[in-house]
Amino acid sequence: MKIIILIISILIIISPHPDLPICNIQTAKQAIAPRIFAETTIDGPAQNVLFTRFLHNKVGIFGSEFAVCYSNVLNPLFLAQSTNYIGLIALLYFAYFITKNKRYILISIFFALPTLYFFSLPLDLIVLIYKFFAIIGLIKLIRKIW
Amino acid sequence: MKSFLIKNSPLLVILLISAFIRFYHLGQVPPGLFMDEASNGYNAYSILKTGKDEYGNFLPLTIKAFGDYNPALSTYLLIPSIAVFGLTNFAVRFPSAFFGTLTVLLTYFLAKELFGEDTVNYTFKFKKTKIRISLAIIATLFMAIIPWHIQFSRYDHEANFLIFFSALGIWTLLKSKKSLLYLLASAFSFGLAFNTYHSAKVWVPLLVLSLAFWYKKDLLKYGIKIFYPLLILFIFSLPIILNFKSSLIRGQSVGIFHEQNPLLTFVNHYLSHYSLDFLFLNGDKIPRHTVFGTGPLYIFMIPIILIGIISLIKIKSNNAKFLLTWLLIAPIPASLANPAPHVLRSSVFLPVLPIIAALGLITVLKLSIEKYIKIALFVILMMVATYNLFTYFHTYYKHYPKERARDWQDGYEEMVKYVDKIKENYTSIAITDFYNHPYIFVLFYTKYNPSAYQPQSQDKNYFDKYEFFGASWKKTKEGKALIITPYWQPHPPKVLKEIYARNGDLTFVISETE
Repeated sequence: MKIIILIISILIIISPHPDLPICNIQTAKQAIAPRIFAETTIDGPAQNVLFTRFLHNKVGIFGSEFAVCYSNVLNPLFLAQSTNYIGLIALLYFAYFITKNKRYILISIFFALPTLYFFSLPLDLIVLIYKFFAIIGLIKLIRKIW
Repeated sequence: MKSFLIKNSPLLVILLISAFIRFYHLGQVPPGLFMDEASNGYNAYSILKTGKDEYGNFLPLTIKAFGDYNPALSTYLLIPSIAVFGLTNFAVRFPSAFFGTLTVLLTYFLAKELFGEDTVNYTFKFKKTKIRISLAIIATLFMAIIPWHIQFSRYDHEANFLIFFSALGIWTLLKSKKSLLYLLASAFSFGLAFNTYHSAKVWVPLLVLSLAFWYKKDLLKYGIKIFYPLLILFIFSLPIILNFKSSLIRGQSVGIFHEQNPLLTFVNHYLSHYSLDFLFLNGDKIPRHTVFGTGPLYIFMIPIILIGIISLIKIKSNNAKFLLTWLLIAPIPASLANPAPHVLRSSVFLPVLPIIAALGLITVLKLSIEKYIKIALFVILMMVATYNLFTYFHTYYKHYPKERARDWQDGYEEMVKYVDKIKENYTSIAITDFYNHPYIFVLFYTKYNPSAYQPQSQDKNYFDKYEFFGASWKKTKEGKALIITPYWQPHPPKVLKEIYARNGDLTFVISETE
């Protein structure tokens, strides 16, 4: 059992992560002006200004840009390539395990990690933590199966 | 009657909303008819008038269309609508909107059957009145409003019929514990589902096998009688078996089996269907499938779907295990083809995702936490949901027709109708094929007599006085000719009309030559 864990853990650690598109506060801010211009142009001047502002505003666009950045990191394909496919299963089990056992701090870390990329923290560090989680998940999973 | 209306008022209100969303401006949004819709519509019209498709095949089991040999059921389903409303955009889209609304109703019955009427609901007091919210009602509401289902209920596509017949097959199979008739109805529904869409050839067998696995005890109690539904399934698979070679054409052109590493491609495609970006933010790369900035599901559904999945794992019933299996197998048909992720081919995620989201919401509502925290969570969820809904519907009805006009081949209708009015003055009419398959739009919008077209159907470069050209056109007949060019192509100096798409782009230039 220990050998299997060791081999898969090594595979998880050595898997190189692919690059993600540059996505941070700066790029989100840059997207605001052109998007507001494009969206409000389609609405036209006849539409109620308050309604236009409600639908196409800085907060909404910044939020949607943030969501895209966040989803890039939490993309199963990215995680599978970063931790390899067995690592992804182990990582999912880890997520299930911490939720089932109500480990709220770990749950918060798990879901907050992708936001760090938005704040320009190195992706390597984030991936490393996910690799660590995947190994813990792997140990728990193999113990359960054994 | 009155008590029935009062008892079922939430469901009836949701159905009305659902129908309104699906039928409102159906002929105008999405803008223009896409070539597949025009092809299905004209083939249905042709069968209605002559009993034959555009190629002259009598009551075909597969429709050749543009050479992809689609299963014929969805074309036959258009016939009653075209008979009633005529050959119009609305008539072609009507069956999709109608079956879409029925699928919303079916979601209610399916959720009720899966979770029982009384076991999964939430009751609270509001001004001394007890209000009871059931999982089935929430699931129905979600199904009525999610972009994934609205998008495909508003244009004619086979996948929408696949969702309906799959859901009907599952519901009747769940009911089959009571009577063999339900089991036969289930086999009938799955048989119909099998003949709706290319991906059904993968999806229906997968779904039937999963159902057989989880409900084997209920099915085996019928003993030898299980042969009858199997026979029905076999009969319905005959159209595919008899046209096996042509049925594979589409699969071969988009399938992943010619890739260098098909297994790896499959796994990557499969995983891509679970990304947040695909499900909640942007959908796929095909502009017709989603509106800009909105995924097939709403952002507010992310937490409740996650909670719903966890709740589902905790439930030990066969129904819960079946739903999880459904969730896991839904992307398989789409993962076998390019490109991926694909909103349309993976639409068999419906209605399981709205049901899981409803379970998640009920779980949150039933959490034993402080009342004010629960209210705060609910208010936040409602605020995000309201913003998501407003943004989606505004984008769908206002932005989408303009932003995606070119993707919907907007401009053809206006061009063909204009040409049809003046065609008697010309000996030949030359139309560019720059925007793909112009002949089908001419047939559709001129309501060209199918029995006159069928003998000319083999060569798609011309029929009657119409000629379709690519890079250049050469005059071969005496007399005046009408030339329809794309915006960028040189044309005769005498311009009669310019046709603009709804986004303001010049699409066609209509000019005449001596």
